Amino acid sequence: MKTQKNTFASKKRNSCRFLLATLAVATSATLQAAVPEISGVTMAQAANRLVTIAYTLADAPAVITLDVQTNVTGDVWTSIGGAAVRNAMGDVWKRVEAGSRTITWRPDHSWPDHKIADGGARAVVTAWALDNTPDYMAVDVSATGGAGTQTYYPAADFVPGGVTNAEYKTSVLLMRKIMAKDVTWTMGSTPLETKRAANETAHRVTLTNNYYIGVYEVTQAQWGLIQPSRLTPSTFNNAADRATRPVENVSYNEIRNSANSTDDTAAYRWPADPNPNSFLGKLRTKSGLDFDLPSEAQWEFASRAGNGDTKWGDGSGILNADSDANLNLLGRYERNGGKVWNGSSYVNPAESCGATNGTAIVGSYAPNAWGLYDMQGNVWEWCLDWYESDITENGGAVNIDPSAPATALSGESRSNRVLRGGSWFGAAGACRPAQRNSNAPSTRSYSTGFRVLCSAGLR
Amino acid sequence: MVRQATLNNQRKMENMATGKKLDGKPYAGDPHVAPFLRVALVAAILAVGEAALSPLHADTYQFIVSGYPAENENYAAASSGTALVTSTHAVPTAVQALEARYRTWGESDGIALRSDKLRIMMVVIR
Repeated sequence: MKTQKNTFASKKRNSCRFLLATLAVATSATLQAAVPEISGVTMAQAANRLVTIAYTLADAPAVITLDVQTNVTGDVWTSIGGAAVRNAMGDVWKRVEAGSRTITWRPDHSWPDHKIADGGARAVVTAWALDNTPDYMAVDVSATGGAGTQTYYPAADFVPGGVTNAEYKTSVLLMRKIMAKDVTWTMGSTPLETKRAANETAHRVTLTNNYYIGVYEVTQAQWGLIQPSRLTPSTFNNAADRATRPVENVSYNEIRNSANSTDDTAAYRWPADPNPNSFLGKLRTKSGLDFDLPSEAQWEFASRAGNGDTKWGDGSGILNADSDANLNLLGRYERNGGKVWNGSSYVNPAESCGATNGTAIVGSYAPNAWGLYDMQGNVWEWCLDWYESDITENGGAVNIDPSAPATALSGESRSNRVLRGGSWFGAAGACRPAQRNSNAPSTRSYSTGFRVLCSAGLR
Repeated sequence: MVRQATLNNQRKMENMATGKKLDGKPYAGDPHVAPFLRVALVAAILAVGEAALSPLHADTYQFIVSGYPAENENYAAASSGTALVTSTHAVPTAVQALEARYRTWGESDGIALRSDKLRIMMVVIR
């Protein structure tokens, strides 16, 4: 009996060990599958100056980026800068499958007239796991169909042509990764802030994931590439510069919930995926990425760029509710060209006006501290959430992704969607990062546009 | 010397393309041969000191300093200061460790590298 019991216990132990071992192997396999490994990096140059960089990628597909470094300043390896290597071609700047891969680079084209002594230059090949892709992502919206229209870059100076290249305002969406995961920060404003409103109560928020957000507001050219059936929806559509001005006069519903109309189709309301024939639905089909509007919290976190109460997104102070010298550098609003002074008041410009009035060409002003343009002014930007006047939601407790809770809070009507950022139409105080506004989702307005967001990492 | 001769040839070709001679006067041209056929350009790599890419003197040059790889620059900004009112922040090292876990890199051995223009030799056919 004793023997039988021991045998049973032994079998049970062995069974547990087997189970644990299986779990350990499975866990290990899961982790290994998620982490790509780079090895065997070699770099060689032919007589014609062409540089070939070979590497082996193992365990998982990855986004590959390249850097070239020199040690001519001593033992310290220093990057020659993204601008000098961004013309590299082949298995780089994109998703690459595991295997032996090759990159070619023409330094004589992008980094001319350098001679580095033997041993003085090296290649650094980086593999980014698919759930942690690099800081910049460019999505070609002129390309026809499917995933693979994206390229990735580890920093602003690696972005081809630079982030202000006109391409990123017309045929390509340039996205910036925001490192928000597990960061607790203060949303809203305190009474110290000029022109603050009662619906901005400062409260702490924790976002649970990183995300990409558009470096620019979506432009009229980009809208037209996605929704050609409503090619020119905007009020400020002067033919000379409309392509790179932000799209406006587009409703929340046609961006997300309906097929090119202002109707709200409940079946497509967040958290459901967008209507396949809406702007976001078509963009998702084209790119293979989970594009959406930013939640209100995601928008404000990106707009603040690490700056809190009483500050603009570049760290400068909010000075004046009407005309603000710091905001003059950051975005288009009523007092720096948005409206026209007629001798007694600021009035709307003509709809046919150039970009010196009304909306500005995106990127005309300085970016915020995280390289995002026009987060203040130009056009109000639609956010995902229903508008609720009590922004603190849970009585001031830390909110986790406070986007459209499942049921409306007491006294909230849920008739409007959130707007953020201010516009050409308003004074400085309306452009503050904490300023909240809203409108019915069917509304089209010449002061309202949007920028897009998607999760950080390929799906 | 060879390099100077090459440069002179390059300049001559450019001048011909613009219709001017080295002295700046208009290029008279040959009435029997079209100008673009007058010169056949043969790009040839000068083998000496080129093909082997042997250790070279590192000339003085400028290079761009990049922050790459940028470690959590957004996070660093969000957690750097005093700007955020009453907020507390995650432990930076934990976030950086997470980043490192999902990003690996490999480095090549050091090599000599040159990116000056290839020297070319022109043969003028008359």
